[in-house]
Amino acid sequence: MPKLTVKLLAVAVATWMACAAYTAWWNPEIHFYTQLSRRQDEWSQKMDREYGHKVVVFGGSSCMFSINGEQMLEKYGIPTVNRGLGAGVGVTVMTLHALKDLREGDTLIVSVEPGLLTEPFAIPDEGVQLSFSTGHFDWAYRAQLGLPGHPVLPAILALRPGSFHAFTLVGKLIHGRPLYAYTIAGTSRSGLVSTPYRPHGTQWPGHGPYLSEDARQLLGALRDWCAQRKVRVAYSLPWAFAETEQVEECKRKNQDILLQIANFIPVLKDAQWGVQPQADLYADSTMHLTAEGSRLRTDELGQAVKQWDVWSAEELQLIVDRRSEDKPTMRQSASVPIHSAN
Amino acid sequence: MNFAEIRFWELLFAGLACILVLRMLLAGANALPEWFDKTALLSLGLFLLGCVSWLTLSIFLVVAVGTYVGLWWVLQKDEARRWKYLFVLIPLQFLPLFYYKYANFAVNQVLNLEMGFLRGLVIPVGISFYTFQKVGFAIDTLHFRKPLPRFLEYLNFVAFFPQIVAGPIERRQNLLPQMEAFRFRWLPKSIDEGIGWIVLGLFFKCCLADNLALHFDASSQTNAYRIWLANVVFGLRIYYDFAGYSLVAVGLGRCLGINLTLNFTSPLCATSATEFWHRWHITLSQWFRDYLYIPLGGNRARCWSLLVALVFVVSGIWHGAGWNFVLWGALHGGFLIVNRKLGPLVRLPAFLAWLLTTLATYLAWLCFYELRTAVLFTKLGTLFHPTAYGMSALREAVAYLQSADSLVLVCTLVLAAFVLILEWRSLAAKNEPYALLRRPKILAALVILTVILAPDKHNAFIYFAF
Repeated sequence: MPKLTVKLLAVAVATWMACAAYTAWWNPEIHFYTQLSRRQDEWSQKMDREYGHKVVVFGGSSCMFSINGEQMLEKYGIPTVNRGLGAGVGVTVMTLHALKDLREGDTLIVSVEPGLLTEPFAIPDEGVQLSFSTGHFDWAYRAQLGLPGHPVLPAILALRPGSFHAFTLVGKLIHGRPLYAYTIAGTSRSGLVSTPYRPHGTQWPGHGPYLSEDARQLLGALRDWCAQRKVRVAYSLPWAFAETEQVEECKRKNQDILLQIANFIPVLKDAQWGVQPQADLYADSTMHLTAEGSRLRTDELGQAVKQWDVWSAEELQLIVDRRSEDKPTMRQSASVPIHSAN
Repeated sequence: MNFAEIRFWELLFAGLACILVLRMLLAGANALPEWFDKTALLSLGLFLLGCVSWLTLSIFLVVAVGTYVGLWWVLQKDEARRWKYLFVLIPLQFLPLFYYKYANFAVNQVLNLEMGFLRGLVIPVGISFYTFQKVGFAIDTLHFRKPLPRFLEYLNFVAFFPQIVAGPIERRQNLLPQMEAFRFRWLPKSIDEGIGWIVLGLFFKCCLADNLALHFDASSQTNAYRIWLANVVFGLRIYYDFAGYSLVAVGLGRCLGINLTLNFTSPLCATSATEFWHRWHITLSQWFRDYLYIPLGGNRARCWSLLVALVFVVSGIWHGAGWNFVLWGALHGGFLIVNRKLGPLVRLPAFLAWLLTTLATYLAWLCFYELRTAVLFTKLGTLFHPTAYGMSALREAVAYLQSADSLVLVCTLVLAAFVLILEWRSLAAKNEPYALLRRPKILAALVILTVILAPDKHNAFIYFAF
């Protein structure tokens, strides 16, 4: 019997088990998202109980910081669940997390950041870990919505902190800083997360020019999934900050990506075209809105959902075509918003 | 054949399990043929290589069979004329390597002939390594007047899976006799020893090299401190990456009862350029020494310094088809010449000698990773410009190091430095650089560190590209 080999194997298994336990119960980031997910679950059940239908909005952290379910309910009478999660969990997990309690008659609003939709999808370790800690480990390894799952063994082995988490955690402990930037105490009953202002960059987050193959696959599968279950679906562009002189350029880029999305699902109208250049509406990043920013964004979404005010692919194509024809004129008067032309 | 991927281990264990079961069944029926173990080992090697890609396996087999047949043909000739025929065989052995690795560089960059189809060529994994091993085999067979081995044993010699894609480049006299006597013995002592090497190799690769790779940032061209930092990060990364691969290869070999050559013996502790090359990629250095440097005259040649320069430029080109690799080789050749000329005249304290050697090797790594020639010269210019070391550059570098990402980099560098200190202490005490690191308690600590700290993104081994 190779004794050293057996001992080292035992050490590896014991360490992995300790890491998995840490991930499930003590990892501050995963713990926060698990608690947030539970809070969203509770709100979702309440909406189902009291209204029989609901609107589920999901996306990355921009969604987490922007859509206020209470405001949607009180002001527009729309029972809404904010299913936003950190972008670090990956699009696959954030989508499956949003679909878990959708029923016939519900509405699904996809508000995933375009930056995530123009990149190939992978299930990052955080996604695997969140799936594990919320009791939905199958999200990580089972192929769903036409997207490949994580192979099982690598998924199991992903239940570890990794160097970035381990070293930054030690740094935070040494400096006495909070172990995670956000707390569940700063979260509303409906799942809206808020955070105080912190200095942040001023760069528009941006995105690639084309939807990735994975994003096309996902949007097509979502359309079919929702059609089968009689769930209404649309895309709503999250807001992001851009410097005033960049606004028109950023809007044009957003229109291009919205046109591609509209080929799969309708796109909710937004007068801002996803670009909000008012710096004081952002808390700690160019996509995380403050309370006031969230109020404005929720209003915008509430009106659009209430009226089901959507762009079809043809309408968006017309805007993009007209923009190309008007380009020289628009350059001369960049202050004229594109949407006012319609 | 990426040891850092779980898929490799799944395939390996599946293959070994099949062999074990089949072997037990045959042994139980008293029908275990003598050739079974060797055939099974060869099948496993070819299966694992085939899993990389069928093209890789096909080219490997073409070079392997071509070498064997060619050598058989050479050995049919009169002894006096064999060397002439060998000079026909060797270029044929090198042909696939030249085509896949150098045709684009030679035709499009050096000769400016603009043949677009050559740009898309993908270098088959391991071609540089197994071509060199097969060329060495052919030369040794003639030089030592050895007979041609049986085809099965020859194939096992060239297709031994732990070393097929990234070395060590084994010699006939070391590996072939072991292959001729090969049996699956599963000795606990060998497995324990092998696992020690594998744990150390995986720690080097998954914990150190992969974490350093995540934080390698070569974007700065004007800040000398940041360029030096990138050089240091790259230097450590490539060492832990390649040494990690080699140690896993040694470990897998030991588990199967095969002793492979240790390709690295703590080169970053070297106190001279000569010592560095005695410790870095040892089997390649020995190949160049025995098959190029010595046949051209070696140390006894009047123009030995020219020979050293030539050998190192060729060594640079072996690493990749690009001017940066030529410069990298030339720089190392230059360091070696200076070292050999000045070494006997100037006696430096050990620490100063180590510092100078380290600075020189880290400077040269810039030429290794920076593939854009114009940017490479800009960076070299920055490093040699005193004003690039001003206070504003220092402040910028310090600010860069204060981000959360850099905290991880700094911690990984500290861990890497600690490992180097252990290597150095082990080298000083036992003249074996990894003895301390292979102590059972330290191995257990390395297992824990690897499980906790290995990032989710694994990079392919750097030397797979060569």
